[in-house]
Amino acid sequence: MVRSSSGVLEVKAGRVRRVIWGVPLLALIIGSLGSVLEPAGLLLSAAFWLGWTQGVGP
Amino acid sequence: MGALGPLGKVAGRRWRWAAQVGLYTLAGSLSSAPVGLLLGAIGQALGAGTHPFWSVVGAVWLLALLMRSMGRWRFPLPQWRRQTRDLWAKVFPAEVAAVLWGLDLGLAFTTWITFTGYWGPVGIAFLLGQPARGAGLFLTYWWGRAALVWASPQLFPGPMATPTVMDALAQQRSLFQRLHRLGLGLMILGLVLLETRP
Repeated sequence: MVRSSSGVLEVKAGRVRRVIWGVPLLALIIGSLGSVLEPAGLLLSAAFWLGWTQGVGP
Repeated sequence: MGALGPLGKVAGRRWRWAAQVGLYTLAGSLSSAPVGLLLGAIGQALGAGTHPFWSVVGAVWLLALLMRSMGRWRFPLPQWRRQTRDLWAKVFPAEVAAVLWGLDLGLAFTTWITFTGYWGPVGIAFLLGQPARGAGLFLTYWWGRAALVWASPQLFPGPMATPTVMDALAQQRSLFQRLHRLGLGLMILGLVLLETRP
């Protein structure tokens, strides 16, 4: 995060993109590893992934 | 997100924030799982999931959603044009509001559906015809949605930054859209793997 010339805290776009990508990728890794135990692991990861994108709102 | 996120950046209030987001997640789990369970039970009652043919139908359904999200195909999907109530934060204690938001958003279909991907878990829960798997799909879908709130301390530079963060997220809408299409592709792959595993 950075402070703009007006003194308002701003959110770095790079940080936002890292969070947006990072969480579903982590879920995919966990789901892929979990699919060894639960055959639907990847399917569940995909559902998590879709829910994550819904969080952005309308 | 806009209502629950900022508290995570208030010094000395982090435990209260965690409790509120925990209640939000738990409440959403309680409302989302029965939807998937019910869809799976309806599918089971109608004989879905008894033959690999149903997985082919599921893959076609997911592909259709993918094509729709890319603007290639056009077909109507139900949409309840409402958002959850901000007002609950003013009328009820914060913890009660968090539970109400969780219950409402966990149902998913009672509020605005941003991307067509929501209809992926709906179709697959039904077509698999397995209530437990349907509940699992809806639970993980909800946990994905709630995860953005859990991640909010990483996004909020301070407790007063809600408009800035919401703007920053809105600017990444095309990235969310691309991720959502990837999610649909992953779901097709997951379905194929589920069907082909011994």
